[in-house]
Amino acid sequence: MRPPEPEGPAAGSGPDLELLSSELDRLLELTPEARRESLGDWERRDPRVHRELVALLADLEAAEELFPDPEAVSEAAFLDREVAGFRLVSLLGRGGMGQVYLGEREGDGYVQKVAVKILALPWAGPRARRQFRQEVRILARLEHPNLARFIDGGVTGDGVSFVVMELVEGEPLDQACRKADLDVVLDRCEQLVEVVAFAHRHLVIHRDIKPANVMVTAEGRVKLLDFGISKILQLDDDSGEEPTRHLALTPRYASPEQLRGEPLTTSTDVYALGAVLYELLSGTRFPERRKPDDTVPRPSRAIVAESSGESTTGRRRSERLRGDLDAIVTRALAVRPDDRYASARELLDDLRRYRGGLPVVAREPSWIYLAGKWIGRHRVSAVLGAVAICCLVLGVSLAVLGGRRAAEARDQAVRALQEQKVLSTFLIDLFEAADSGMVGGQKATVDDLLDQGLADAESGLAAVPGVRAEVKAVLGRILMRLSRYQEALELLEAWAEARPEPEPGRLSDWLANQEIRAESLIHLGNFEPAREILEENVRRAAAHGDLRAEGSAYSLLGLAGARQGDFERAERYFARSLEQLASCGAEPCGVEWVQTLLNRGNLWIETGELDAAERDLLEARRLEETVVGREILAIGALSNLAVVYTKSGRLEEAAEVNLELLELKKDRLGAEAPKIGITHQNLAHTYLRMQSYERARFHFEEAFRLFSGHDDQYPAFPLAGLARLSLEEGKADEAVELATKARELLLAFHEEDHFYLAQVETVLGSARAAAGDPAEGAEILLAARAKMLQVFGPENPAVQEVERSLEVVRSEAPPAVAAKIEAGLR
Amino acid sequence: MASDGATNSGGEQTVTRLLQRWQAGDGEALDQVVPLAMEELHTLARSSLRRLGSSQLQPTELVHEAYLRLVGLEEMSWEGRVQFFALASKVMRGIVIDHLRRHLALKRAGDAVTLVDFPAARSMTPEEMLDLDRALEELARRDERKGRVAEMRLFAGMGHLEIATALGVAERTVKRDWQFAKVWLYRRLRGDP
Repeated sequence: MRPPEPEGPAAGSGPDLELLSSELDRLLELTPEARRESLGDWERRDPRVHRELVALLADLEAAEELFPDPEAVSEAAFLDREVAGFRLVSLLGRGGMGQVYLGEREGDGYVQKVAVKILALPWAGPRARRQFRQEVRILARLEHPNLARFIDGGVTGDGVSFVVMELVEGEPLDQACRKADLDVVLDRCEQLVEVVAFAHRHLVIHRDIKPANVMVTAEGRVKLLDFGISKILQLDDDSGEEPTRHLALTPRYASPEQLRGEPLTTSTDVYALGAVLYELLSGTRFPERRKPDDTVPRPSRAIVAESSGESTTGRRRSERLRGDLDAIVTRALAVRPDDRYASARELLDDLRRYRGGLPVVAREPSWIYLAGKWIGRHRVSAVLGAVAICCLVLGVSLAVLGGRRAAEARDQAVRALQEQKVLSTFLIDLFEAADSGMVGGQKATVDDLLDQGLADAESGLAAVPGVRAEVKAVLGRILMRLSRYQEALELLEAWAEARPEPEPGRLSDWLANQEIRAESLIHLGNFEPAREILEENVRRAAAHGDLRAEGSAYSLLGLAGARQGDFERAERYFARSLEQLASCGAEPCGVEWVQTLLNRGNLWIETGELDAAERDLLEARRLEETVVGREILAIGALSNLAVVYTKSGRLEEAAEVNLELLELKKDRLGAEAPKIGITHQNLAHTYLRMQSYERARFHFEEAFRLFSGHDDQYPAFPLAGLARLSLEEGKADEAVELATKARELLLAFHEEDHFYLAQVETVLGSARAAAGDPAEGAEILLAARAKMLQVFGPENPAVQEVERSLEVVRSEAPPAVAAKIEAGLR
Repeated sequence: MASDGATNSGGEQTVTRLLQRWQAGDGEALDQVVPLAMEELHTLARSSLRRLGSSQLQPTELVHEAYLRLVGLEEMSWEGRVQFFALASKVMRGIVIDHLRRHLALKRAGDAVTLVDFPAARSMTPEEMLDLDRALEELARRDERKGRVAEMRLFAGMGHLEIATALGVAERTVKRDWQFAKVWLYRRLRGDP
């Protein structure tokens, strides 16, 4: 940057600009009388400064007209206007986001009162407006007694953005808690955390939780304001897309990652909740941090520091905070999102456990933490997925515990918690053993870890009823995510044998394990048993009103249908799944929702409805970014979008997305993970279409290498791809050989008439014809076409592909064969 | 890869990496970013003038577009992004002024320039713009920080917090500087001493 030029007696040099600037600022804050007085002082002290200040003040308005600031909408400019049918009666307040008015509408003999926020938004392009309306629709769906309801929102004809919200009358939360008893404060904290957890389940992040955004009504009900508005405020310019930067609206309560401008997740709200709890419990201001990563003292200490140990109430409060409450707040305020509660729900569960006299999770030695450190040292990224699954298992059971409050459930809850503890201790031991090199005396690999876990499950845990089976289920889940379906299935079958019926009160865990069992079966091609399990799940879930489990089972039934080629049935199941998940209020449905969208997106890809596929996948991708720790799903959506791009001929885009994915997956899953093969496979197809044969070959071969050695059908796909490649390169014999192999492999998983086989046969038929046997080739192709027409319409790309192939064969075939083809096509 | 505008991927990589190196304390990296940013902004300004028939020039919009083309959707840190805009504001100012000077020299009908990307903003004539440039020059001579604040505000459309980050000062300071600078500049444009 340019060095400052020497200060000189330049033309027009008058009073020091810094002095004028800060005086101008100060004067603007004053009342008109005080301002006149202050100016009078200057007139006596320094007439030159006085003259300048008067001139500056006089021209302020004109200057603002020449250089308008999008941030500042002029004072009360909207008074008496009508917005969305409400007349703006008076100005209630103003803040960084704009102004808030009291809006009124005459109803049938009564006056409806609302809060109307006029937002200071610099944009008004058509895409941004569409996005804005979409956000408003999402927010308007959120209804909760602790949430100030969203009523309306939009952009007026002259470009003013507004939202209409329920008018909340009451006291700000921090004021209302200042003199309150600790139990009252805890009750309000619980209400606040509960409503945030509710919104997270609907995939909405607040981003600006602070005491000023929470009101307490006269009846003592906590009301959270402005949910989701900060996102609207940060929709960027005319693209209407969410910007890459995420300004912290209130730095004091902002999480470290928010201050750094990183993408936000629900974890950001957990941090802000921690900061609010800190203030309310300790009665002291949450400290400002100099650097984003600065940690804060424990709340109990903050009281001591504040009152210097003098007041007895302060000391008593401090004693009550020490221990569990300190631990809960500190866990929520962890610098690294991974060290925090994974969701507002977990924070809520811990608060409730504390209030119910149960041990809190925040104080337990955390195997998740240990596991995290172990992974950090060993860089076995594949384990990451496994750990996420373990968290999920533990999290689900803890949520079950947290949700139960009735006294008769207490004993059972305690027993379950003990079981839980055994399970987490087991996992701690496992990771520690691996870390200290006890497994085989070497650096442990994922396999060692799992083997060790299995051995322990068989021997060491026999004394604890139920735990052995649970450990098997956990390990089964891990193996499923590592695509080791056969091993996963064996463990889950063992689990199912030990637990033919769910334990009372733990139905949702049981259903979740059954889902994994069914999913392994689907991947192994055993559709009927999978279907039976899932239908049973639907029955049980429906009987208990567990909409999450019901929706999830339908989603897997849809997956099974799609894999079997029964697209209509699959489509019905997916629709059913989304219906259940949309209406489920009490369980965390976000992840399942995204999963179903992903699966349905895949279905549309198969059926060639690429627009619908793109819509579902983009939606899935948008949603999963807001769900903590679901990076694997994000990768799935991206991966399938690339397929959509390839199929719709957007090859450059497809190649770019796939290359990006390759890096992402290598980083997250480890370089050799089978799932990376899928991206190689997709990329190879893109290159094949671009006729970039050398690259295509390389990626098909990589895909085959990564897939082989796993018990599923995947190796068949790169083989089929290589066959197609050889055919295009004119090596017909080689193509025949490769396609035959691919076909044999698929036959181990599917019936003769499955459309996957038909697709491989399209290559095989063309290759046969090219290798000098047009009659045989034509026969294979005609049969393949017939199979496809059983499941696809005539417009389907795969059908058209086989018809194109037939046309090629016909044009070069002897008359007899050509006639046969013509007859077949008719 | 294809060299069409939207996916200028060679450029993306380089600028992001250079800015990261610069942030990490490698001063030379900046020397390499400037010509890249200059080139991209020049190209954009030229094509924008061609497209809009030299009637409208919107520097802040061009800077945003240049950012998207050079850095793209790659995740850059907040600081990196801010530094890019701070840099671009300087480059953009030079481009706008050069362009207007050339046009005035040729005595062609002048291009209107709208500095602020906001519906209420009015565009300025080339003569006003050249006056503004001189006024900014003087403001920077007397108080360098205020000069920079105004430049970043006017030529890259940066927000208060962004400018505060770029200059390493409090947001409050930026607000105060800008409040002062705009009245001061307005008075200069009107010809007040």
